[in-house]
Amino acid sequence: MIKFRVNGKGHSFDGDMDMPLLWYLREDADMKGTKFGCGIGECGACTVHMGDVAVRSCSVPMSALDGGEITTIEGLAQKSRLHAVQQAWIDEDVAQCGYCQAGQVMATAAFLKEYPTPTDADIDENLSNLCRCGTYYRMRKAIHRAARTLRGEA
Amino acid sequence: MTKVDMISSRRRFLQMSGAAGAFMIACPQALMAKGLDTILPPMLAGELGMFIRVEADNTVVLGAPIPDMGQGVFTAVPMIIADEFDADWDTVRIEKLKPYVEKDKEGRMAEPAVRQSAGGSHGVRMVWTVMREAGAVARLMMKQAAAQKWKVDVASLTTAKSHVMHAASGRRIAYGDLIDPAISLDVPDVPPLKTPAEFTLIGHETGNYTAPDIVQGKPLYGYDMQVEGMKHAMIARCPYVDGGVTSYDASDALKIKGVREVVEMKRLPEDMSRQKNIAAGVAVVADTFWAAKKGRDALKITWDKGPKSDLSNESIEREFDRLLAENKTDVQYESGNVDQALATAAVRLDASYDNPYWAHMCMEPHSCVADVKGDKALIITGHQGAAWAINPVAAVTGIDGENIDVRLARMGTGFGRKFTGDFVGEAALLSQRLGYPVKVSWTREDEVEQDFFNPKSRHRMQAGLDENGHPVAMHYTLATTAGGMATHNFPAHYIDNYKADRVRFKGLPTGAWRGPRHNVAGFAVQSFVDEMAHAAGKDPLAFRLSLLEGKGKTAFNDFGADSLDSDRIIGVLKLAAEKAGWGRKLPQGHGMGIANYFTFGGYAAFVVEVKVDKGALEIVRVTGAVDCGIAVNPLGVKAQMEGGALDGFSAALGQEVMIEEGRVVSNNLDSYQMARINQAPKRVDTYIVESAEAPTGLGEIALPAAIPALCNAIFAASGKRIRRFPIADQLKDI
Repeated sequence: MIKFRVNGKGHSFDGDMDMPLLWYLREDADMKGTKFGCGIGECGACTVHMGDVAVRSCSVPMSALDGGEITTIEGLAQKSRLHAVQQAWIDEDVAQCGYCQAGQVMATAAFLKEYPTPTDADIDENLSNLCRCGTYYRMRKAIHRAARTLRGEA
Repeated sequence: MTKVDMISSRRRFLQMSGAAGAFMIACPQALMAKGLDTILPPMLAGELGMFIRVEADNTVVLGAPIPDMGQGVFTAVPMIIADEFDADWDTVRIEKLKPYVEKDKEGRMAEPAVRQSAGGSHGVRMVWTVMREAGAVARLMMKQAAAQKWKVDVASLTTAKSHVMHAASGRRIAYGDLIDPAISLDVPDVPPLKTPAEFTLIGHETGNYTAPDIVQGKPLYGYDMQVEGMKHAMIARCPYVDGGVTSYDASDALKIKGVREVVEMKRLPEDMSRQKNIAAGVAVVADTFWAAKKGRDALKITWDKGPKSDLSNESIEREFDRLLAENKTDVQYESGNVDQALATAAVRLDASYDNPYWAHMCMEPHSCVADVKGDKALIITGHQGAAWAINPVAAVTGIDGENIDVRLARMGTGFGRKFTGDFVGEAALLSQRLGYPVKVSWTREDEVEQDFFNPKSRHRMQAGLDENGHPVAMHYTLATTAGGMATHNFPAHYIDNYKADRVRFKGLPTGAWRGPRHNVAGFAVQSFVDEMAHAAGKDPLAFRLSLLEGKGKTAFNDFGADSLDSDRIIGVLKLAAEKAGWGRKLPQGHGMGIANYFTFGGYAAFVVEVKVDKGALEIVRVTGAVDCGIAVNPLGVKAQMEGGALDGFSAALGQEVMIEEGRVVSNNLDSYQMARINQAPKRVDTYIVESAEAPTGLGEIALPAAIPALCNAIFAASGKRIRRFPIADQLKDI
């Protein structure tokens, strides 16, 4: 039996420890916001936070989770107030199909904690989630916009 | 014009449903002629009926008929209704319209009057008039209801933001307060529609309606769907083209906790000469996704490698070599005398372009929930068209199409792949056999291995120029692994002697992939036009304009349009060139390329600026121009231009399906290279040609023009002509 927290709530699990966190979230916890894209940690659609770090939950086995603090897209907003990254994504009209965007938002939220004033080069080096619609141009604008908001400039 | 029984049906509905005060309209004339009886049952079941519902609190609910896979129709199409209805966009609620399909003459389910599928960039274009009529009739009825209530002339009333106004008395009433008088009115004839000057929403940049749900991770997609009591199925499908299952051992799979059943799946259709619908394989059904996945991984299967176990990219190219050498081509189009004109031309060009198979790599792998009970089936899935999901289910289960209820979820991209019946058919077969609801989920590897690929092809191009550099002949010979391709669009009809012919060889299964028939033809044709311009010593833009000017409308014998308007091609070329600063002095190592293309009714041109430095390619700036008629949602138009261009760049730069021994081995994102943000241009500007023409679609318009603009830019920057994809490391020595 392992214990961990998801979006501040206590969870416990004593099933198959090989199962990736992604499927715990989607099925056991019935939280569908974290998406399945590739299953091998390449696309990032399943990005969640472990502590402050963005991880690809398709590649995190349950066995690695004991005592962990997980934040998913469902837990990113503070009550009714969207996270600055979520709001920037809406303001820049980033999403097309939207399937990868929860993962993009989670990856960006973690990235901006480490890089509050990101350069384009920082973005290129640190963000590698796949967007199959090719929304990268607006995404880059949204990342800079969210960074400004988080710095209190907007 | 209104039939009494229709009105009474509508009233009966309102009484029966207990929907205290709701005004609904399902107005298009073509649908009304069918009577409301076929539309009402879904309304009675509590579903959104056709198009418009006004609720007592003045919420206007709009039904979006076309499924959204990222092309923006869940926003753009309701905008069309909302504009004519003068609905307050800020309080509008959009719901997916329940599919409204019925049997055609052949007994297959089809879309009757209103387009409800997503393909061919036809969404907005096909529903434009119907949506406007629905909105206009409903708005007139609101005015009539207010006129009755206030005892004033309808003509003295105006509407805005879900309200009717009477200027003379200063009165204003919400649509929601006019429900009772409105439902007792006869449905009027369609009034005159708004002029473009009267549009309040159309032509205004409007954000993706679903964006708030998307960024909060709401369960919108097929993969998120579930029903009570459903089990999960994962299928090990034969990875060999036209192969099968020789034998399998499920003993280990059945030992896994939660695994319930192992079921062999037959290849369908059984006639191997026909393209696969459902792959041969073995399904593992379990209580959870993960148990099904583990069970599938534990299967021991011996595959019959089928008749194509020696298929590889190299073997296909050898077939192209052989077939082209044989020179027994099918002529698709011919004007003038190409052979003679080539023989006497002052300058001759001869170049071949090769494109690999491209996979769809839909961001969301396929899935389907099926609940088959006796002679009825419920299907919940992300699919591009309800009828295209129903018919395969009917075919494999024997259930009457009219008894198959399909609910369409949002799609995490589709690109043509989510039009097929395989994933829905599998789920229906399993649920029918097992007697409980089953969800079939595909992994990424499944999605690639079982894809219907964009066809690998070779495009041999020959041209002749006269002593002034003017093209006198062009010959496009296509060797392809699919049916046809757009080999005789521009510059056919613009060059006196033109021939298009082809040879074919069947390799991997192929299907529609964003801009089918055009996506790689655009690359080949527009690269070759660039080669002609350079051979003629002319500026590539000026060369194109010299072919187009004064030509007016020419024939276009392909899907999407019946004529090609040279002036509209000129319009997008000039706009893109002007905005990009075509011809300006560029830094060392930079180059600009231009290309134009016409796909499914829409005209696009791109100017791409690249930098090639020590083998590294940077796409510096992209300038697109599009003529799509009236741009319903310019923000969405730009999104499709940006995304379409990037999708094309991603495909050209890195994508190639690798085949070994007749099976696809590049089956995930580690071996199939797709662009990330670091490869994306940091500047993409889109300009929209002002137009009063009816709107066309956008989903597939950008890509066929964007790819050759990139390749032509690479040539301008480096002198390296891209004649083969992927571009990958072809620039490493520069």
